[in-house]
Amino acid sequence: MNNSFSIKIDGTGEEFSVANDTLLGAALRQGLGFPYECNSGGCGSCMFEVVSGDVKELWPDAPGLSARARERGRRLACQCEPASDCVIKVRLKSDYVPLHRPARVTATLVEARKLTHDLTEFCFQTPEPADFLPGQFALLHLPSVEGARAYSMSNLPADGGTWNFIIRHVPKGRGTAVLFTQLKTGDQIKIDGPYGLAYLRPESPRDIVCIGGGSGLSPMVSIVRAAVRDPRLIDRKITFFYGARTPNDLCTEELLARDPLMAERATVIPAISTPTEGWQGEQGFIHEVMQKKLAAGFENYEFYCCGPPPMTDAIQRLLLLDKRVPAQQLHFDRFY
Amino acid sequence: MMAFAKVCELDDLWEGEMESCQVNGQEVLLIGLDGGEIRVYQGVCPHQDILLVEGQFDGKHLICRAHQWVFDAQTGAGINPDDCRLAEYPVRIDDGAVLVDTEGVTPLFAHV
Repeated sequence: MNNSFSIKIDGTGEEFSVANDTLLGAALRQGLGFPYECNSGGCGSCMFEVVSGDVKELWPDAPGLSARARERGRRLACQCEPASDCVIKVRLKSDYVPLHRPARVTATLVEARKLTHDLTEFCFQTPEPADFLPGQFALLHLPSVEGARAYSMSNLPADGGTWNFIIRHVPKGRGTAVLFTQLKTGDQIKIDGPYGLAYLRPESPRDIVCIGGGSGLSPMVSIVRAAVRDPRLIDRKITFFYGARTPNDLCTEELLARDPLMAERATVIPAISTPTEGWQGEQGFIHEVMQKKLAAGFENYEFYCCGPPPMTDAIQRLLLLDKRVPAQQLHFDRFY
Repeated sequence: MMAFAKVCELDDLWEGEMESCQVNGQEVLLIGLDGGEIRVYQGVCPHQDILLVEGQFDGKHLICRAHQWVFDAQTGAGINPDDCRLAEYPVRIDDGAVLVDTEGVTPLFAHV
């Protein structure tokens, strides 16, 4: 049986093949600039139209596709596999051409380091080098879990074939149940990556502000650790705001202790949102704390952020609508 | 040669409201400006083809739901980012109906 299908992009000479893969995955693996963001059905950035041919939808109710967009014949490339050769309509863009083409690799769990009561850093090893950009994510295919889970890497790509992920234990989450309670050192999973556009831009001339909340810590740690080591960024100020609910949810001290260079070069400002007796540090939502602590002139920074949707929404509104920070200076991947 | 096509009744589009529909294969966004004037722009954001009707309109600004790109609803000009704009379609009101001409107008896209 022929499992490989050809996909032509209408009105262009572009063509790619898909074999046991999503349209998006196959396009990126072949180096095409197919627009996307979450690769998880949530954001709607990878919408395309089927001109001819059939596709199979992996998740027909994916929230990234509104009823109206569906009625207009749009589909999500991250949730579609071809069922025949197809002609599709999509606008490829050069900024989505992957610098490191995503690949599917087998990874072995080598360590799970507990950071707080519900945050653990899982360390996987692959025989191949871990080629990714600081801030990017990967899809984890876990044993006996339907579908993939997207998690951002917390380490540096220079660490050989190491892929670390700081992950929050979600009560009742089937993916994290496997990670936190079943997976043992030596067990294998599949990693598909890297993906994502919210990576460090060392060529930017501006000071750097990273904002993380909850398990949005993971890619921010990678970005800060890479930024403090990049010779091009030697003169930049690097500020890292991290928001958690209570002091119990913070692990910034430990992360700084593990990376003295980060402690020396970056200003790390943890804040808690729930008033707690005995807490001497910043209190409030992290975007409010950032607004209070940053010197004026928000347009003079390059912003990176990752966290739960209410947090990233609040940051977007503050920076893009209120402070008129140019949109291209705010980097984040929408996972909803 | 005129190619105005009826897209909706004037009564269907109140001040501060927006509606999206397809005309001659193009997605168009109808905007009821504060004061009652009507504008018709391309229906998708110049950034990622997200339907603008899924965003917000407060009578003056249009905000895309995906990345909060902001457009001036009066002119279609990008406010943030300010180096893009929405293509505008000629609109005519005739006997209580809203008519749009899509001829020669194509949606604009940002290179970012």
